[in-house]
Amino acid sequence: MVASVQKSRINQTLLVLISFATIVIGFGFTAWTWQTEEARLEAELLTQARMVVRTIDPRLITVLTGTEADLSLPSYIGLKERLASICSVKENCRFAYFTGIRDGKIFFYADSEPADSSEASPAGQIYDEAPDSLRWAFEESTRSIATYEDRWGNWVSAFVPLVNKQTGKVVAVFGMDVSQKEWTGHLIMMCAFPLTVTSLLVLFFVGFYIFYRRISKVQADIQKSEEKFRLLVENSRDVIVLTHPDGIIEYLSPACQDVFGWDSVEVVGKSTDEVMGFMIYKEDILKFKKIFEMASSGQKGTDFEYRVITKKGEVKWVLHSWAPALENGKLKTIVSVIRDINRRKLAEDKLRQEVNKVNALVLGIGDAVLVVDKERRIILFNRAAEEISGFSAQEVTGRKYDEVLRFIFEKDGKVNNIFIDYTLSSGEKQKIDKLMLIRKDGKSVSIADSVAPIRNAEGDIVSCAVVFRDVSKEREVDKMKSEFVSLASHQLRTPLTGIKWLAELLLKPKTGPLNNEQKNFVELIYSSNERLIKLVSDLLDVSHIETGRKFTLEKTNFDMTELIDDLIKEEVGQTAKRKITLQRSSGFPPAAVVLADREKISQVLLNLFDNAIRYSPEGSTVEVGLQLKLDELIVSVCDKGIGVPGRQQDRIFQKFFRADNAALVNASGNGLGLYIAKAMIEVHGGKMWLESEENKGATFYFSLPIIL
Amino acid sequence: MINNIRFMQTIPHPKILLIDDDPVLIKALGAELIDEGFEFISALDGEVGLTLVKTNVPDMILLDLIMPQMGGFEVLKELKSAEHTKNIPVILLTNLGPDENVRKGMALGAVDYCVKSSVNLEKIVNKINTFLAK
Repeated sequence: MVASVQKSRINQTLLVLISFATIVIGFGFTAWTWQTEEARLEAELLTQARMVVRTIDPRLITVLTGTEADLSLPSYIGLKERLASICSVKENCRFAYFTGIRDGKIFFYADSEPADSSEASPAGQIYDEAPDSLRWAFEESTRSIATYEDRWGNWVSAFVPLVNKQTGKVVAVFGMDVSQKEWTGHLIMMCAFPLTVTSLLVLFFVGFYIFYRRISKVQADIQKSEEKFRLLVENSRDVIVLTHPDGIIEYLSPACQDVFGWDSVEVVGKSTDEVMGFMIYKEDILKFKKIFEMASSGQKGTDFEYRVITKKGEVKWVLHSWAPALENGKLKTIVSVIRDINRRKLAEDKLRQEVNKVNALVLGIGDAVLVVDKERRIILFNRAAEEISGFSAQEVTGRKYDEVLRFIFEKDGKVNNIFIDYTLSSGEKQKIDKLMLIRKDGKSVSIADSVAPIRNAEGDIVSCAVVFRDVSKEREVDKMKSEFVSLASHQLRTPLTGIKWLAELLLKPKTGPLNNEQKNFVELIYSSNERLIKLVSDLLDVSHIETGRKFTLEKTNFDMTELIDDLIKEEVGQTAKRKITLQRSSGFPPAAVVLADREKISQVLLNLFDNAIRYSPEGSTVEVGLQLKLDELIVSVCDKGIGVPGRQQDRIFQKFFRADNAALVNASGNGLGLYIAKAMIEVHGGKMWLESEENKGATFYFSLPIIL
Repeated sequence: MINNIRFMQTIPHPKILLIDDDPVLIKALGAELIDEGFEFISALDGEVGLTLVKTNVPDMILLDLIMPQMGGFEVLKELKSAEHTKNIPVILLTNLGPDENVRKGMALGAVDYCVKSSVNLEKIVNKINTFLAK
């Protein structure tokens, strides 16, 4: 590229130089022509003048006086006639005349002009404006040519002195005038040719230069664009192939080496049939043949994939696109672009395998999976979903989920489709519980699990996945389990009640006197039986908590102060035994109505009272507090007992957990009371906690919301 | 079918009928009630109980809920539907929890209930006295 620019610059300079030389030579030649012609004209004029002078006898002049007296002289008239005839013969001669000099002043002897002409100079007329050349002709007897201006105009004149041969003196000077205009016109005429030639030559060169510049620019542009294409082709990672319609490979870009391992030189000139033999993977040869058939019939083709064999023998995937290049409507070349897509292909295969795995997993997983997009359309419906719902994936895919599927609440059968919409809009994960799905056949199945949002890389929700399973059997088992526990506890309670009542009867004085030891035994039977009854009752509660059925609450409005008072009274037997005062604390509100299950709350309170009484030192006071807050009431049971060791306070509400110090004091506790109490309070929407210091006492609190 | 019937000859000994399928409980509660001066009659299942009520109208009925043949709820329904028995106060005596069964029984017209395993005999007597006094 640099070389070509330099070359073009050289050409340009040469052209300018030639043009310049032409101008110089042209004008030089013109000037030379001018000078030469002028010299020739001058010589010719001078010669003519000399010829005239030679034919004049000086005596003709010497007889003249150079005054008006001459006018009538025959020699004057003769001379004048002679001059007139000279002038008429000489085409370009305007005036011809003889002048003389007297007292330093030049005057006319005679001229060629008729006497009556206004421009005639009569004999003796002084010629003041006479040029120096004329004067010199007198003084030095020299012939000369002069260019000058006088009263008659601008002239080129030849001055030739007329010398008396005997005396050698200048008698007169002959002048012959040619109009300067005519003179110059003639010269210009003479110079016209070289001037025209020069101008034409210069014009030619300028034209050529402009034309040349244009051509150079076009050439440079072509060169640039060629350069670009060459760079593109040579640096392309794709192999660019030009193939003649008869199948001969005409060109292969250098990428051939990288893609196929073959140098383009090794392949160019070979036919596609030959190439097929060693470069195309044998299972794909048919495909390749078809590509060439299509290409040679003038069709265009994109993105054909096949495998090739590299020089090293590796099998590689390539992507082939081609287009026919036409010339005058005839297929000239097939331009192909072959891309190495081996890596991509391998990655795709791997990805496909992964996708297949994931698909197999999602489609084959035991739980039903339903994916709903932002437009609420079902985009995935796996086999388990098909089985549970009775719909096929084909039937539901692409449809809005609520057009096909109907979810209802287990308890009242009301339609609940909004949980999916909720997750789609809020992005919140939800548990599915106590829901039923209406099957295609109209039957309903209990389902459970979850619905969760699916987000893209930017964190936007794009869809949501509903995962569910048929829990009809679980529900049945739950129900059976619960019924079993109820029944079992009922069955256990009946004999326990028998023992309880009979022991009670035995202890009555009327039934018969028992000795002290017998009485003690019966009392032990009674208390052991009480523990068993408590255990059965607690286990029933625990079973309810565990099965998730919790408790069915029978809420009524009641006054908490009243309930506390009643229960304090109920505990009289217990408190009396241990000489403990169970009482209200100060600041008790006059009334505190709450909506709750009275039985359950009683159970909780009794549990707290029993614990407080059991673990308090004899003679101490247990105080029951009640505080009314804006939206809740807080009940506290405060004792001065053994307290709960700090490290065990976290675990005190755990099932079967008993604090070390409590187990020492009372071996009969089953570790379920506080667990059940807390669960009961929580079912009410309240909380339970404690504050305690070992050996100083414990205060158990629970809160219940007051719904206004 | 009727057993353990002891008549208290002297009036005003209120007559209490216990319908319960467990003979041990009948024996224990019967002993206590007689001891406390009540006239006590009992039946081991609902049907027998209802027959007994027709011939021997009690002042109060203690009714177990879960029994073979005829359960407590049916007995209660029958009692409340018949003109001459509907005013007899019925206390449910059950070992089912305080739960929905008890609520159902109360809704059917029982005046009160006792969870057998959690009350002692003394408490039952107190309860009977309370309702008889009303």
